[in-house]
Amino acid sequence: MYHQVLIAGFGGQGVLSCGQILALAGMIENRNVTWMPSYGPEQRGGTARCVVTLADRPIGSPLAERLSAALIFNQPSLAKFLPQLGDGTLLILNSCIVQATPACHQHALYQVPADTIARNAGFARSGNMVMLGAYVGASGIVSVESVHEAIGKYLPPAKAHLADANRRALDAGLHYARELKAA
Amino acid sequence: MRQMMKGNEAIAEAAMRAGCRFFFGYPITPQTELMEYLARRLPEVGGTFLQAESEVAAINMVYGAAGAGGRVMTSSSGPGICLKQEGISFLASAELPCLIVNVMRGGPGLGTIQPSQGDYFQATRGGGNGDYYLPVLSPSSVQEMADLAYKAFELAERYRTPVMLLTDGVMGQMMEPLDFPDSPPVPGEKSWITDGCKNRSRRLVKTLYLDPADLEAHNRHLQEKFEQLRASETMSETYAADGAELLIVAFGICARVARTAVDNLRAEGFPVGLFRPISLWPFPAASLQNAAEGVKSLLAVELNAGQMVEDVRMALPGRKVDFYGRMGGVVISATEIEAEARKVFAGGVS
Repeated sequence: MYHQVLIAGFGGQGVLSCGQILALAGMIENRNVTWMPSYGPEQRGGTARCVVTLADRPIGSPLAERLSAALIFNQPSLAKFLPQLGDGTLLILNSCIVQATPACHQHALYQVPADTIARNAGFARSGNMVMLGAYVGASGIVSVESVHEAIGKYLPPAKAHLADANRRALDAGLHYARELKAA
Repeated sequence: MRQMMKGNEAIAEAAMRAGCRFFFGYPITPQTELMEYLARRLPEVGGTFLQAESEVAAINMVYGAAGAGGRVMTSSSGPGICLKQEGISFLASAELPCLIVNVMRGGPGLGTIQPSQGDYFQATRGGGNGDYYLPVLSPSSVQEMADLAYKAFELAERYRTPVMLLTDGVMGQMMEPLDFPDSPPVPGEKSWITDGCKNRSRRLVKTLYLDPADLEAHNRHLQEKFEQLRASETMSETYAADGAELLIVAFGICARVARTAVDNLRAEGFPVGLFRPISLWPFPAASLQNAAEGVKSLLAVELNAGQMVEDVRMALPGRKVDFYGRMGGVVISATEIEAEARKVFAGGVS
């Protein structure tokens, strides 16, 4: 198993934390994992992205080499990264603000209204967990229990009270993706 | 307990666990998380974190703390490490143990904040004035960031020398799970520190020797130490080197990317292996000679215009060593290395 996922959007959407929680879930399952952010003179509203690699063997390059999935949180990221995806890549869009282009349909496309689902689940700022849940639901790459545990590990004590709201958002995304998959 | 950390944070936490209680530095990307981490953590264990007014001030504070017997470190990136060179030369001459971290970015000049390996020459050839070297260690995983921070303090105190951890923006920024090594390095005997001479004779920590005979004797002493380091402190690793016809030589982040290229090429049936120097100075020449035996071609891969490749060529006189590099903050992809390797095979291995 060698799996690389790109997570990209605006700063402030929880793109980097989404990747870190996924990496933590991989660590909990005793996988080899790397989390590699883009870094630069960037700030809230600028671009943010990271690449998470999960593997059973030692990981060489932590950089995007052969992506098996992409979680796209905003339109500019779709324009930038769509041409780099191989056919059939698992492609999850935050359809509240990202419009799928015809080329998206060459991929295993999931259009997930992440922000709306997050609001309905009771925590508007957890769109990133909805996206992560959708990814876990579509790919089965890690178990949902591991991600629940990872959320607990990730949040500092001062934010521990947000764990359950984030878990609910994750579950809502997971169910949404499973229904899309079944349809 | 296994935990997930950025490379920069792993160095910081490991240094602290290794007993480092003094940090003096000045912020610069891409090493900032290291300082940020110690700014929070060092005071918790009674240590001193000080953001100096400049890199020059910071390295001289390192000199002072080391001279007084403290376990001490500093960190920076290329442009800041340049400013510290005067102090590093002084530390080498005065034989003061300390850890210096360079999280490399693209140069020359202010360059870019993106990753590079362009400071290889500066690190492995001393960097400041005079005849000196310092041990230079190059980690290739977050785990090694921690392991080599321990190793650096151990070498520093055993040999009474500054030691450099030479890494880059990718390694500093990436996160991986790691375990911290258990036993911190045992403090070396410090019978030379200047901590007040009440009830004992005066000691001197200095670098000025006005009599040429004295300075030559001091230099001979330093050179003996460098010889000893060359003889016993090289570190390296091979990967898939058995039966390899092409041996890729790479360090740090490039070795990680090359490992992916080796896996992909092996899967296609190309007999390719990897040699990774871990100590860049002393360069593991003898281990490389062993690994290169029976190998038909060699390819050095670096994020610079060709620096380590000179050490590879010196270790293997008469052998043809190809080179592939990217500069300016561009990171090499596995695909690029694979393409270079295929070219070597297509040209008939020489």
